[in-house]
Amino acid sequence: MIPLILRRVAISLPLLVAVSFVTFLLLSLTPGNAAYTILGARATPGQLAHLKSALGLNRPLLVQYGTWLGHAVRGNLGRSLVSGQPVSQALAQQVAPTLSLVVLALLVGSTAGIALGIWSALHSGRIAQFLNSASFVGMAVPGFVVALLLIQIFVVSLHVLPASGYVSIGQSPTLWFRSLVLPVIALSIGAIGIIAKQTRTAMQEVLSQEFIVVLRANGYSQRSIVLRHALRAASIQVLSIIGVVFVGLLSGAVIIESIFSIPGLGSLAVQASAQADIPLVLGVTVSFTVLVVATNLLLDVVFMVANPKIAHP
Amino acid sequence: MTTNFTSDESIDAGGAVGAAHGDGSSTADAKEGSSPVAPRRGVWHALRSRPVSVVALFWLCGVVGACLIAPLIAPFGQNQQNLAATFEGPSASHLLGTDGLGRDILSRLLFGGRITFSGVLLATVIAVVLGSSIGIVSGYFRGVLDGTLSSISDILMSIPVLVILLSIAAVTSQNITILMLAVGVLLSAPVYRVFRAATLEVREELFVTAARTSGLTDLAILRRHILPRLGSVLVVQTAVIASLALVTQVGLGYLNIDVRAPAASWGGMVSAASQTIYTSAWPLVPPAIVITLTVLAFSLIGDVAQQARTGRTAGRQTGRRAFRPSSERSTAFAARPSDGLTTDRTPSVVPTDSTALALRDVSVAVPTNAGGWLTLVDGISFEIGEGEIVGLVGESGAGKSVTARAILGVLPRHAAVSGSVGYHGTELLRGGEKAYRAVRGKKIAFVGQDPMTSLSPTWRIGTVVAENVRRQQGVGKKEAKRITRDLLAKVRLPNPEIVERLYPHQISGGMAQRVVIAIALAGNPDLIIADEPTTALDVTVQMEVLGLLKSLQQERSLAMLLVTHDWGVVADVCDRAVVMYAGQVVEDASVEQIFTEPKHPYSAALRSADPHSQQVGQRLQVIPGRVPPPGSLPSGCRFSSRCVHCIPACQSAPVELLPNAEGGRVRCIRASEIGILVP
Repeated sequence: MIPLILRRVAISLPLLVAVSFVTFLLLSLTPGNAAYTILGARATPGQLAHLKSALGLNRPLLVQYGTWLGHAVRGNLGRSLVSGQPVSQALAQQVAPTLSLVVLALLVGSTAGIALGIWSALHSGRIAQFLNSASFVGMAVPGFVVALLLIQIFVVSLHVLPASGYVSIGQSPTLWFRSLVLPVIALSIGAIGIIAKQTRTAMQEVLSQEFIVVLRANGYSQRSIVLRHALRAASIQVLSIIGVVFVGLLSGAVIIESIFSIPGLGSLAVQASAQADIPLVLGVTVSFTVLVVATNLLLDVVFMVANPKIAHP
Repeated sequence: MTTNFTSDESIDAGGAVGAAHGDGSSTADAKEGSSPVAPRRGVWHALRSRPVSVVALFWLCGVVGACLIAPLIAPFGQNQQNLAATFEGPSASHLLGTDGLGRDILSRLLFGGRITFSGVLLATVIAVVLGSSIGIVSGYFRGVLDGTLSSISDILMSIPVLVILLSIAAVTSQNITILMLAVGVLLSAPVYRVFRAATLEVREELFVTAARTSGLTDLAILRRHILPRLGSVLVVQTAVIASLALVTQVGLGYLNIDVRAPAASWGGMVSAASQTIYTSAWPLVPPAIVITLTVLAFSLIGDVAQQARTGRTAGRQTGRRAFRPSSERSTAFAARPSDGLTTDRTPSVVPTDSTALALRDVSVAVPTNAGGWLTLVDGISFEIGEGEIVGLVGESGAGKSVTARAILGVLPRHAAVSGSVGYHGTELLRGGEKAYRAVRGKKIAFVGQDPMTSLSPTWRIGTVVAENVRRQQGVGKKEAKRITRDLLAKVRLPNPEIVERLYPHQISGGMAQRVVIAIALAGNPDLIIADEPTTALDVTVQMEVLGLLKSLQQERSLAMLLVTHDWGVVADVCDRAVVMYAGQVVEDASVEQIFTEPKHPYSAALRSADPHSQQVGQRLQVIPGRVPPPGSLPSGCRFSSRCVHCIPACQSAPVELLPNAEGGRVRCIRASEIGILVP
C-alpha cells in the first residue's frame, strides 16, 4: 500500500505546480502589478520602472515563476506588499481557524450525510420522503443564507451563541467550540445534503445486488448486511463525492469566515484580493491547494482500504 | 428494522423482473421497450407535467422577466434614498419595505437581478458550451487528447472556485464580467466530465457501432446518433450549472466584488442588510428568500430533468401498497380457481412434518407504473420431501427464480407475495421476518446463479464465511476460523488457508460458487435452494459443482430445490421435476415419468428442444414463438398459442392443475387423450 500512496503523492504534486503557475500567470499578466500596488496611482512612470526592475518584474515570466517556486519550496513565499510581513508567517497565523472550520464541517457533513443516506436508502415512508426533500433544499440553499438565519435565531433572538469572532482551542476549548457552532452548521448543511444523496443512491444500488440476496437468504444479520457489507461496498462511491464536497467547503469557508468575522485564510484571501497584495494572494491560493491535495491523499488512503481491488489486484 | 432493501422508486414490470434477477429474456424485453430517443422527449414532458418543475419554471420566468423590465415596473430608482423612511416593513408604497438608507427593497431587487442574471447567463453559456463541446470530442475520439483534457478538468475541479476568483479580482479591479467569465471556465470542468461520460456510453452502444462499421463518417455519426441523445444531458447540466453560477455570483456580491456601491446586486443587498441585522432583520428577508427560491428553482429543474433522463419517477411508494386480491390484478387471472379449489384437488400438497417444504398457492406480483399489479408468479403449489431433490424447470421468464426467492422471502420489497410457504409444517410467509430469521441459514440455505456477484466484494472470503459460522453455530472466533477452513476443504477448494485470505475478485467463478456453497453449509441446513447454480459456469466446472452438490446432498441427506433450464441436470441429479410456464406450474412428475412420458405438451416440447437430445443430421428442434410476458397472457391455456395440440376449448378458459393417475399433476385439458412420446 505504501508504494501506492507514494505514487498518489507524485501524481498530486503537478496539481500544486499547475495551480500556482496559473495563479502566478494571472497575477502577472494584468495591469495592476506589484509595483503599481506599492506605489499607488500617483507614481511616475520612472518610479514604476525603477521598482519593477528592483522587484525582478522585468525578467521573463518563467524565470520569475522559477524564482518564486525555488523560494516557495524552502518555505519563503515573499512578503506582503501592504504590511511587509512575511507571507508564510501571515498564513501560519491564520490557518488554524480555517482548518478547525473546514475539518469540523467535513466531519459533521460526512457523519450526518452518511447516516441520513443509509437511513433513507432503507426506508420509504413519509419521514424518508421528508428527509430527502430536506436534504435537497439543504443542498440548494446558499450557505450564507443559512448563516444569517442562524445568527438571527441564536444570536439576535435567543442570545445563546456569539455572533462572531474566533477563540483558539489553546485559549479555551469551550469558547473555541462555541465560536464554531454556527459557522460549522452553516457550512456543513450543503455538504450533508450532497453526501446524503450520494450515499442513498450508492446504498440503494449496492442493496439491489446479488450478493445482498445471498447474504440475506443465508441468514446474515440485517445490521451486518447494511453496515458491514453494503456500506463498505457503497463507500467507494461516497468517498469520491466527499473529495468534491471538500473543495466546495473551502469556497464556502471564504464567505462563512467573512460573515462570522473569523480570522482565517478566507478572510486573508478577501483582504489580500481587495488590496491587490499579490504575494499574499498567491500564498493563500497555494495553501488552499495544499489543503485540497492533503485531503485528497487522505481520501485515497481510505479509498484503498475500502476497496480491496486496488491494494489486492 | 425492516428487511426490505430496494429503493422507494416505483419500478416497471421489466425492472421488477430484472431486480428479481431471474430470467434474462424478460429483462431484455424491458430494454427493447424503451426506444433510444424516448428519454429526450421525456425530459421536456417531465418538466411540463410535474407540478414542482412547472412552479419552478414559472418562478424563473417571472423573476427574470420582471428584472428585464425593471426600469418600467420598478416603483423607485435603485439608489433613491429616503432617510425619513428607513427599515420600514412592507406597505402600499414600499411593497417589500425599505432598507437602512430608506431605499425601496423591491426596486433594488429588480435592478440588482439584472446584474445577477446577466452574470449567471454569461457563466452558464460559457461553461455549458465549452464543457459540452470539448466533452463530446474527448469522449468520442478518445486517445491522448482525452487523457490530457481529463487531467486538466481534474485540476480545475480541485481548485476552490472562490479562491481563484479572489486572485482574479485582485488584478482586474473587481470586474464582474471577467469574473463570471472565469466562473464559466471553471464550471466547464464538471460539464466536461458529464458529457464525456455520456458520449462514451452512447458511443459503445450497438447502433453506433453498427453505424461505424457501415462506413458512416465520424461527423455524421456525431450529428445523427450522438448529439440527439445528449439533449437531455444538456438540459440537466444547464440547470445545475445555472444554480452553481447563481450561488457563486451572489457570494461574490456578498464579498462586495460584483458591483460598485451604491448600485444594487442581490449579494450586495444581503451583505448590507447583514450589517444592520441588530437594528432590523427585515431588509435581509426579501433578498434571502428570492435568492433561495431562485437557486431552488434551478436545482429542481435539474433534478426533475435528471430523473426523467434516467427513467425514474421519483418518490412513489408503490411498495407500501397492500397486495390486492387476485380479482383486482391482471384481468387474465380473474377466473383463476380459488385457493380452496386448488388445494382440495391437489391432495399431494398437504404439508406434514415429513415434508421439508410445501408451497401452496404462492403468487408474486409487482406494482406497475400505471398503478395496477403485474403477476409474475401465479398460484404455485408443490412440495419437497425430506432428502428429495426437486428440479424446477422452465424457459427464461417462467418465474423459476422469482419462486425460489419468494420461498426465502428475499424478493425486493415492492414485490407482494401471497399464499403459503411451509417448512416442516411451520408457516414462513405469514410468520414474516421473525419466522424467516429462525430458518434462513440454519434450516434453509441459498445458492445463487451468478457466483461472481454472489460474494461480498470488499471482505476476505474467510471473513465472510466465518461470520456466518459464528452467527449460525454460536461459536467463538477461533473455532469459527477452524470450521471455516474445514468447510472450504469440504467444498473441495484447494489450499483453504490461502483461499480464505483472498477477495472475491481474485478467484474464478467455479471457486466463488464453492465458497457460496460453503456459506450455505455454515449453518448445517437440511434444505438448499439452488437458483441455477451452474448456469454462469464453464461446462467442465458445471459438472464439478453439480457433483459437489450431489455428494453433499447424499452425505447430509439434504433436501434440495434445484432451479434449472438444463434437462441434463434434471436427469443427473433430480428425483422429481416441476415444470413452470409463464408463471404457473404446468406439470409435476417424477424424473422417470417426465423423461419417458411427459403429460404436458410444453414439457414434451421443452424436452425435444433440449440440445442434448438432438439427433445428428436433424434440424435443431425449437418451440416456435416465445413465452408471453406477464401482463399480456392469454385468457385460456397460457401455452396454447405455441402448442401443436391446441383446440378451441384450450383458449376459452383457464386450465387447472389436476392430479393424474401416475401420481403427478398436469395442467392440460387434453392430457389424457393425447399420447405424447419423446423421441
